[in-house]
Amino acid sequence: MNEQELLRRLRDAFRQESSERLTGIGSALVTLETVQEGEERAGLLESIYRDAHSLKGAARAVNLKEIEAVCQGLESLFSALKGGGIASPELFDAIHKAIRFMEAILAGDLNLPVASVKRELSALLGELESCQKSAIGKRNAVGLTAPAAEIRHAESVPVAQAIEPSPVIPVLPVTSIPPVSSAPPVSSAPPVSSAPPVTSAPPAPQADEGPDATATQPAPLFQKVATAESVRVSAERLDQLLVKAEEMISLKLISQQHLLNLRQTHPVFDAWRKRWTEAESCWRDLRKTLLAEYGGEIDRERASTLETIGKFFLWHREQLQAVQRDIRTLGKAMDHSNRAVGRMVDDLLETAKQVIMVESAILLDPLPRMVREIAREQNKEVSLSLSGGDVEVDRRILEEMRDPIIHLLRNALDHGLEQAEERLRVGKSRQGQLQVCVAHTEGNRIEIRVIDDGAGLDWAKIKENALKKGLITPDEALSMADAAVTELIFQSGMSTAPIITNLSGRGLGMAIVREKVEKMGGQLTVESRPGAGVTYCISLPVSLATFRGVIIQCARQQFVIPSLHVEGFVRVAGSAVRSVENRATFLYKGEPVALVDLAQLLGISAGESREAQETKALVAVLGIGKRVVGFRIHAVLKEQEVLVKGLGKQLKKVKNFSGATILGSGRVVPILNVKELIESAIQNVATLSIGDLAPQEESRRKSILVVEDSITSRTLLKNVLEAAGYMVQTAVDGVEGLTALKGSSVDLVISDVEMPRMNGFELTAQIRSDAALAQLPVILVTSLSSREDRERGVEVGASAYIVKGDFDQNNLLGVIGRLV
Amino acid sequence: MIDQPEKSIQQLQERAKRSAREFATRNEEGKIFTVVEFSINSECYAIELIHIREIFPLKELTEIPGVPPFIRGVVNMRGQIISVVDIRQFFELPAKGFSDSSRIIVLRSPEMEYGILADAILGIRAIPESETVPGLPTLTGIRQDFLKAITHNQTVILDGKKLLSDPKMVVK
Repeated sequence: MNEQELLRRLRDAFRQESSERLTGIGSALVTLETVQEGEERAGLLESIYRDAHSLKGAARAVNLKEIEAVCQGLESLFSALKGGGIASPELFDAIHKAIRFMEAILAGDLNLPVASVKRELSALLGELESCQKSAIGKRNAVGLTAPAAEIRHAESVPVAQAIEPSPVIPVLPVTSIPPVSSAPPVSSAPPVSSAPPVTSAPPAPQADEGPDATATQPAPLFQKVATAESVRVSAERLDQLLVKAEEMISLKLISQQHLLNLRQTHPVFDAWRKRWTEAESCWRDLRKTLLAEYGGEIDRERASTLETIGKFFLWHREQLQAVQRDIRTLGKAMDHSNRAVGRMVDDLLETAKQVIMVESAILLDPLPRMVREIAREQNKEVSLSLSGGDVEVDRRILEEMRDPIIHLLRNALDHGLEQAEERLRVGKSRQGQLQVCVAHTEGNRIEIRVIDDGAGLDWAKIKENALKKGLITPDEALSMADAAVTELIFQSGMSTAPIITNLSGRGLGMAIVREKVEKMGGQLTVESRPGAGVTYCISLPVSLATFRGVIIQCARQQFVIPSLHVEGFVRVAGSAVRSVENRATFLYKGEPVALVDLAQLLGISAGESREAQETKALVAVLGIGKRVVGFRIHAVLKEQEVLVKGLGKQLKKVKNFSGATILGSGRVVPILNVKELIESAIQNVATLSIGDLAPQEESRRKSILVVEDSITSRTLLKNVLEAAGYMVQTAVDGVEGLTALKGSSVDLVISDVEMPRMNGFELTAQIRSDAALAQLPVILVTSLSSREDRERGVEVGASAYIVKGDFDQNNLLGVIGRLV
Repeated sequence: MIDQPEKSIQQLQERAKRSAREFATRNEEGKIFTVVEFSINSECYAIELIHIREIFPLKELTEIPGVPPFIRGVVNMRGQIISVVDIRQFFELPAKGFSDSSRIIVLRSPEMEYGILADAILGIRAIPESETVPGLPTLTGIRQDFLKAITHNQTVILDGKKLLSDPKMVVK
């Protein structure tokens, strides 16, 4: 490893270490600002000081002079504070600024333009220096210049400390102390600082409330020192580990598919045994006849030929039975190993998921600093309390939740919490209370609650805004329930209220907050208590990765629906469909639900996919939050674990789809985006008209000819078709089939391709060349899956070509339904 | 163990340098297109090798409802999902089914990756620029956009770079 490489690795490590330390310092600072004396203060200062010091050393090791210099400044500043200096809000601002500056250096890949860095740096150092001086100076000036947040506790400040003479600037006389102990008069106009609102003097009655609330902050991250049992691994590598463990699922699925394929050989053996018994009994008859005919005169040669054939029959049976036994044994062994592999893959995945779980503290720790800054911008007083920092969650989920949580907090600060005067007027505490709580709920889910005790949502204003934006009609506005109004804040048009945008800066409206939450498999609900505040509740899974999905069929295509959004599958009779405002609806659990045709909505082979026999439509009831829509589909195939993959770089966003997954067979199946589907369905015209679902008139029963040489397949087809209400005739090969066609009226032919005497292609060609039969629909069913065969089938005039591999009943019935 | 990949990377790089030098010397007589030739509807097309990641037989294609018609669907390329483009759409060639000899030519740039459908692969060829003309005056619009040159025997050399960078090719 050369020196450059070493430096690169060191810097990677440094970046990780420093970001943790800076977060730690940041949140400790916010606590420090409210704790001005005693052991807690000393402890906080000590740890901040140590952090700055360590960071300085580390920065020097990786040759990052800028960070080293800033840390040097911070270190001496903290040292002065430790010595008894008292910090002003300006000083805290400067320190936060310094931290942000270092974060910028780190985030900018350590590659910020040097000139601007140096300029910023000297400005910052100057600021720190002047702050340091004033901090020392203030040790004597506490009575007049210290902001009220500190004064609150001044009663218990040991006088000795407060008046300890400074060697540098002995400014004010000791006589300024007395007013401190009788707090109220002090709050009027401090001469030096302009008393920023966050910490500005609360009147005496509330004096004790602030610190209690703020003291509930969790231990900041930096206190969790890595012990001997833990190691530092880059997040990227852990993600790779998880991705690889996830890929193992496809191995598991493939293996299951192989076992299924193997099991499908069993009917082949049954068919063979039947044939063998037939042939063997023919041979016996032949032997008996010959022996009877020739009596004892049969010559030796002929007798031995007979015996040879007899022996061959026996040998043949033994061999095949041995093969069958082997396959059975193999199948069992495979089943065992499949189970083992399945278990191991599941375990591995579970472990990998746990590995990337981190404590929610990484989400919570930066919040106090951020809230403090916004509160200062907004001129509001606020105390933030956090809980649940030790709840472990998938790091990717926490990272995705950062922006939404920040947005919710900004919203609360901007719209929710009132100005101090207003709060006092309505009898609330001067300081607004904000809470962010993370907690485990049932199963593998967590809940993040963002709670404020502000005025609650202004429903009237929301309505007015929605009216202005044309999202609702005046009539709707009048009749709207409060819950429905609350839902309005998630409409994308609403997020552009000017004041939100200029605050959030990221243009992240409530619509996007909800979208982000739902993307992670979560749900966002809002509860507004007029005059008492708003609670946003985000429910999330503990870990991301795979989810369960239902594979459905619609027209001829397969799709995956995330199980999370499936309310249920029901059969709906045509007579149960009602028209409401010209839209088809049906009752689901007593509630009217809109009904749309999925194929039509997606624009695939609209209308023609209707299955002839079906008088009851299969409907998938899908829902997001309170919005529920029924989608007409054609079959539910199975439910299984699904690994989401993108549709490739070219298909960045395809409407109604959120990606695709790969099944065990290697087949790619698109995953439906239920949210977009529901939106499309609501706007769309694809709503079924009632006539579409009305039971079709049963005319004459249709008659089908099945031409198939295998008795198993023949019987299977016959049963399936008869169960579906068709009359069925059978023939064992093309020649017999053609004869049968001439003798009776048939509405459709289903034929195998490989058959003795006349194969399916020849049969089809014969049918097409016969004027009386030329229009007869012919379906070729075969195990030949090559495209050439398929094309040959089309060439000879087959109406449909079904490959046995993907043969499934509904598909076949669907095709038949279209043809007859 | 750890050193080995580095070593083989080094070997590969050296080999690449050697072949590059060869190419450069030939280049002195004028630019040479090193292309993969393939056929679509019995016409001959080519794309420069540098844009091609790999070529593999078309097995199962999954249609995605709602995408523009030039995208035929997506395929599974060893666990990765890749979209497949039918360039017949751009050259107004009649659409046709696929055969077992159909191939997917995977084009790749750092930002983009997709496959294009070919009826058959004809081989790799070096075509000197002097043997080509820069396009036909009769071609307009999107066809002209994606055309790099045409050889004297009517092989159309497609502009791989434009195919990969044109925003029209991306579905957003």
